Amino acid sequence: MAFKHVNKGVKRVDAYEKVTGKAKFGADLEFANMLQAKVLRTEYPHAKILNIETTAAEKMPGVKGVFTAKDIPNNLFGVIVQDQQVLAKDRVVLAGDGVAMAVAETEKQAAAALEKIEVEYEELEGIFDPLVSRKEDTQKLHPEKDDNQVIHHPLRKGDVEKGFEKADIILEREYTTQFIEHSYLEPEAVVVVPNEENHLVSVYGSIQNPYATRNAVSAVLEVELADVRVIQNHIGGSFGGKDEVISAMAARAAVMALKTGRPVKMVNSREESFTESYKRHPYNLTYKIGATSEGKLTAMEIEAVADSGGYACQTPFVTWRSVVQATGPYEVENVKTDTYGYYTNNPYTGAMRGYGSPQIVFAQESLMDELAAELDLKPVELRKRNMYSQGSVTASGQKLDKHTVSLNEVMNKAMEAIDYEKKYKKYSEDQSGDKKRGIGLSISFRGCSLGAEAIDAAASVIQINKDGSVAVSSGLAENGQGLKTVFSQITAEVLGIPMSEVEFKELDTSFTPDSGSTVASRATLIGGNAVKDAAEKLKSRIMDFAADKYDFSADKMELKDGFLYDGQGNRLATFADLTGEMGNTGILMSAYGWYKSPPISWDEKKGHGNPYFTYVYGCQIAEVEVDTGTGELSVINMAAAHDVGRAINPENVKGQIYGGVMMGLGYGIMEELEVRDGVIQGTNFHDYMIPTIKDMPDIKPVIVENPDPDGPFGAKSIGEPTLELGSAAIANAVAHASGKRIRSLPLNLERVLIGRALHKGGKK
Amino acid sequence: MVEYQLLRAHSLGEVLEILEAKDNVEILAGGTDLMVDLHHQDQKFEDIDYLLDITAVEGLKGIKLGAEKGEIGALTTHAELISSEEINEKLPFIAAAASSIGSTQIRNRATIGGNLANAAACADSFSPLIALGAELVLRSKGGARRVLLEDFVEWPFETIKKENEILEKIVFELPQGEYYSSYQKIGRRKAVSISRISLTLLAEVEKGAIKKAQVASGAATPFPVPFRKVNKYLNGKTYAEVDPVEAGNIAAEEMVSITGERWSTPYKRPALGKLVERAVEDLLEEAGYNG
Repeated sequence: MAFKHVNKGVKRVDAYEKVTGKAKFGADLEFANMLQAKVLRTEYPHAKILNIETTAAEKMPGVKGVFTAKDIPNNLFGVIVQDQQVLAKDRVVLAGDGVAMAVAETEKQAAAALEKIEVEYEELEGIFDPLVSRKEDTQKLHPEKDDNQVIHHPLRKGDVEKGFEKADIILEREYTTQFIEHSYLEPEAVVVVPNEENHLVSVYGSIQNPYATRNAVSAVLEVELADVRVIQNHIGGSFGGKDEVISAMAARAAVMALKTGRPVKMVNSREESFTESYKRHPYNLTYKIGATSEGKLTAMEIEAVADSGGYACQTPFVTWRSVVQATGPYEVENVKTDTYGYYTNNPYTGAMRGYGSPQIVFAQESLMDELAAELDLKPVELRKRNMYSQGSVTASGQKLDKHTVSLNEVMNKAMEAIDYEKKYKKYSEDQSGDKKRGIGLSISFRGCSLGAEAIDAAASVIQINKDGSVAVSSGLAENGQGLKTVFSQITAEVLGIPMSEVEFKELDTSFTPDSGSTVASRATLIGGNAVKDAAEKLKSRIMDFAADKYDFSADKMELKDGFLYDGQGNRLATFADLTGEMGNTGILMSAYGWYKSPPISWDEKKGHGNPYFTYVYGCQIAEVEVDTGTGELSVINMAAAHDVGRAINPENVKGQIYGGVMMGLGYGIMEELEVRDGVIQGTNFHDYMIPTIKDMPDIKPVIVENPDPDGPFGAKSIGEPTLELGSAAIANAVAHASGKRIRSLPLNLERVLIGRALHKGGKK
Repeated sequence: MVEYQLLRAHSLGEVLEILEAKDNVEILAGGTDLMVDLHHQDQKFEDIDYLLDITAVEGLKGIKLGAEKGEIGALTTHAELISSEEINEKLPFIAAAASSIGSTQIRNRATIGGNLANAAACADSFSPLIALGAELVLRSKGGARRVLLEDFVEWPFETIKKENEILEKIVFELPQGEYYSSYQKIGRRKAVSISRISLTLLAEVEKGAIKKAQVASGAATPFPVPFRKVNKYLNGKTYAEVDPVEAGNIAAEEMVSITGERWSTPYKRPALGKLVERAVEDLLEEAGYNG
């Protein structure tokens, strides 16, 4: 199939406004009569609030109000579990919980007012380790619950005892991962305008999931969804991060906007963002794996314990993705997996690019290399003997036969791109000097979209104006990933018009249907199908009209380059004239598009079913140089091969790969949010290290295309798969180079040189 | 709330007048640390009354390297050091240290004098200059005094500079005859990275032997000091007598004797030893000694 717009690296439709500085971000917004607000956050990870004295703060210059939990109509919200406090009421459960807020004419006045608020606390003992939190005799953090468990997902397949009996070799290993900050460029920002255009409140800002934020604001205000309008602005990165934290901010601003009757703006500083935002879950992972001496896996027993921090947030779903993917893409007849989330008094943890996969891929793909070494097999060979192929059955009993299972292909292409075999052989020989090179790989399968988390459907709206210009909007949001461009390409492809005729409009919850959250690498797959659906509805209307008008059979004619053709190369009309005429004839030239995913199933008790309707496959390979004298680690080259079904925009896919590889590299070798007794140590980029361009290896992106029967033009997912593979590939390369296996992230100087991390003030 | 009056001096004379006449003056050079701390309302500024901007004082800028003696004005930026042909030719380890500091933006603004006067434990300018045996010229209205750089810092962020003094320039004697130098730095990433450890070795050699060696490290000790025991071990030895591994061990033990066992010692002990070992190995290799 020859494409005109799809499968081409067209330039981003929002590039111009971004590079010229015309794009408006949350903090840029100004409204007449606007107030500014600030939040007072606690420094205690666990404490009873005895009293909050606000009188002095209220009398400060410019102050229009000081509010606490008692001013919030409904103080609890949450996407999955409604346990997150808008402002802490009787108790703070994490250092960073908001306890009071002040609104004033200027940001400075609001900040000055916070200084005058006096909060009396009674400190409580905290729990800072999920392994402590899960113990039976430990204190209960939430008296209304039986224990500190947020969630437990079991998965049972076959009989692991019997599986281990068949094994010639059994390995048991433990791995740990760290807290990670999203590090989006733009800290959180919202403006809430009261009583605007027949909405009680309008929320503008840096919002990843406008519908989730609308749900939260309406729940907190105890008003109808129709009263709340959320309009997304340009967003300076999100990576899963601007969901609950921004919903809390919007809810707070909404309360103050209604109390004062004036627009209220809130913008976090970087330090406030670090303090308050949720993080990627740290995991403790134990893996037991059995294999025959020929390298055939016989059983896997897995336990993953996630630190949920003070709130449940997304822990139930994050750990659910973990339970589905915990074995990695390998056929294992006997599997026993348990993933858990526990409350602690640490910063709370939620969605971040990967969503429960980076942790388990690090562990499980490290384990495969460890097992290969024990069996004296090459890492590639062990994988090839066990990995999924067409028709394989997963740990949950799903038969992979509705799409192309392309592990072998992605692996071979990645290996070719980086010259793996030659380098593996070379680096396996003795290397002189302290600087040793190594090469390591990891592979994964990943369920696309939400799976059994929630109803998986999305909408779009396309309007053809009388001059032939086309306005497209979607219920899913542009978060920097390139959604506007991809959806515009799909529209142009179906309607046969130039890209310049397509205008993508901002998401406005009052005018685009609720499409769920822009998460789970689902936008191109689910939202793209919805855009295609709307475009096809309009196209069929146009073709019917044209068939009538020109007395041609509709299937002979063609819409191309902004013209209607007769199928023999003759132009019959311009798109603008034709659709203009239709509009004047009284034909509806707008269409809603809708797409609901194919059926899925999940038995939560057994961990059995078809949790996702399709999967993507990826392979990343890292080539490293380890300085065994100093612990310095350089990632020199990386190859990343990903099956995306079909690349709607190959340049955009490459962008996702480069970005995901770099975030994965940061996760693998340097990023770590240090949390000591519940308190974040260092709340800005002075302390929290993310990779610079000088840490960037030469990255070879390899796009593999096996069109998916359910994807728009065959497209699937790319955003998250790119991040989950890097840390294991790097850890495997480091082990190959130095002979040292590091089972905790990140692989920093100390771990590489002396095998353990060091912390100021002793063990954290 | 930190409040102060901003003063701007246009000549060294003006600077000295102001420092003499006024108390509680904080000096603004590159501002790359100061402005950040001011922004955070750092408690240490609570007592300041004036911020004295010296960035326009030409007399504090410039690099002059003669045959035997050299000086670097306190306001010389790291970028200027990196791009100086003379520095690269005669004192490449100073250029190497300067290029390892911060980011392009930081190097364009931050000054070598500011790096020294701020006296952070991890400051990267100390080790090359201590290895060079540099002295600082501290000038007040009443005159100037010279102090050895290695005696300048009393404790992290505390120096012997008096309130009425300005750090005018760094003066030193250029190494003579045949000499070798190296600068190494370990950071947590490849750029915009604070030193975990940095190390300079400077050695004058003669007739197959080390005539005078100077080893100094940054970030290994609370404030930068020369490693006297390593220097002593190396000085006067013929190449054949030098064991790089032993030199490394001596340095590591010397560091621990100064710092005691700290949380970071299990890492820094082997890492520093390795840097010293490599510096000595490189010296021997460059000198053409093949064992």
